[in-house]
Amino acid sequence: MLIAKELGKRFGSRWVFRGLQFQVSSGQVLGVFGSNGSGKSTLLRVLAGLATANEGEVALSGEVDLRRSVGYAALDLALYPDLTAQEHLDLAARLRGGGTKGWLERVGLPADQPTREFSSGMRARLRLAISMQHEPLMLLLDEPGASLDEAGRSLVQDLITEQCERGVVVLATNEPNEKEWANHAITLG
Amino acid sequence: MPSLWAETLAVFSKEMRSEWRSRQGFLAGGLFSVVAVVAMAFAGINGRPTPTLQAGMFTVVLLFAACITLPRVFLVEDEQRTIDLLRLLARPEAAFLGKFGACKLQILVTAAILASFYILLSGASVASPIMLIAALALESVTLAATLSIVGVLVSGARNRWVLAAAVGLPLLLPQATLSIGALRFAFGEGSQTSALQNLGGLGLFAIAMISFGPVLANAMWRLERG
Repeated sequence: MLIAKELGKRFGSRWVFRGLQFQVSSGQVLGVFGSNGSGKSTLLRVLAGLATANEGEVALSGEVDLRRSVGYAALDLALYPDLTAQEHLDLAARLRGGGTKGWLERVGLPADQPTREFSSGMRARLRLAISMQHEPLMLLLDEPGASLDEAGRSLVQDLITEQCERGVVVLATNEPNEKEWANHAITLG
Repeated sequence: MPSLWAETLAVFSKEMRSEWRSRQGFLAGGLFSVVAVVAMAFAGINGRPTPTLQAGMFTVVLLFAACITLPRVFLVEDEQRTIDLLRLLARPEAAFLGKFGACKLQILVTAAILASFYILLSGASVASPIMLIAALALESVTLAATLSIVGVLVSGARNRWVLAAAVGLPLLLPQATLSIGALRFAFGEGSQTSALQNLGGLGLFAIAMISFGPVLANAMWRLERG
């Protein structure tokens, strides 16, 4: 279960969000909606531990190590251009545990091509694989369908369904089709 | 969960693989070193420089080669925006140690090439080969550790290259002095006792930097990065 209490984040003197409260139980998908600049991506970065909240706290039950518990896929998460998809997955497994077997086939990526030669859709697929290979308790998806084709969006939906059997999903999006994947929602801004 | 050692090794392998494929650091540092060594050898045609001057030139060239090569190991993560991925995957201590290991190997190779080329081209006589090897090895380790710490400190900062120079200068000056002190004996000037003291100083400097680095990396990664 994910619990956020009185969560607040500001850049300088400007509050991006403040007093945010929500609770997500295992099996639930929390949709984070809002206009551009409303703080959706920032909220996900806070939940991933990549940014710190200025107020409030976040608790994920069962959490021991954030790296092990959180899967994060966002459009601006850059990949190593000289490494292949398989090497990214191997690196992730060597650093935080989990497996790599079958992931490339599942997301439909070649094993030996460096990511500098990937299209944006292929990079999005690799981010999804990296975010899921360690079977996290919480999956954070920021605009997951952006740059993906129909098959890619179907893959995201499958991964969300799979994640719901294990833990929680937080999904930041403005796409009407993706909003339907959420069964709870908060709107920022 | 993987051990710290296993994670360190994973980061080290990633660095070496990236470097092997792009060869950016090696080409930049290597080219500079070759040009510098040829210039040093050429400067000694009409009269060999004194051992102290040779030691000074050696230290300066190694320092600049390291400054060109090594910041890429840390700062490139910022520039290509892969720092978030690294933070999601690795514990900061392992990231520091793995990157330090990669820095160390690169600068050791550079130092070995530099010394071999210089001695071959200039015909310089080495009074104490053991001291030359020991001084270059320790200087390489200390440089790698110091520049890794500078990388950790300035990574994420807005004016990171300016900040790197400001932070690096006070850390690099004392070790340059110690290195010259050890190398001048290797080229035939000064006492062995003084050279050993300088070597000991370099060793202590390296130990301090390597011990402090992982702690600093941990603290810096906790800080706000937006």
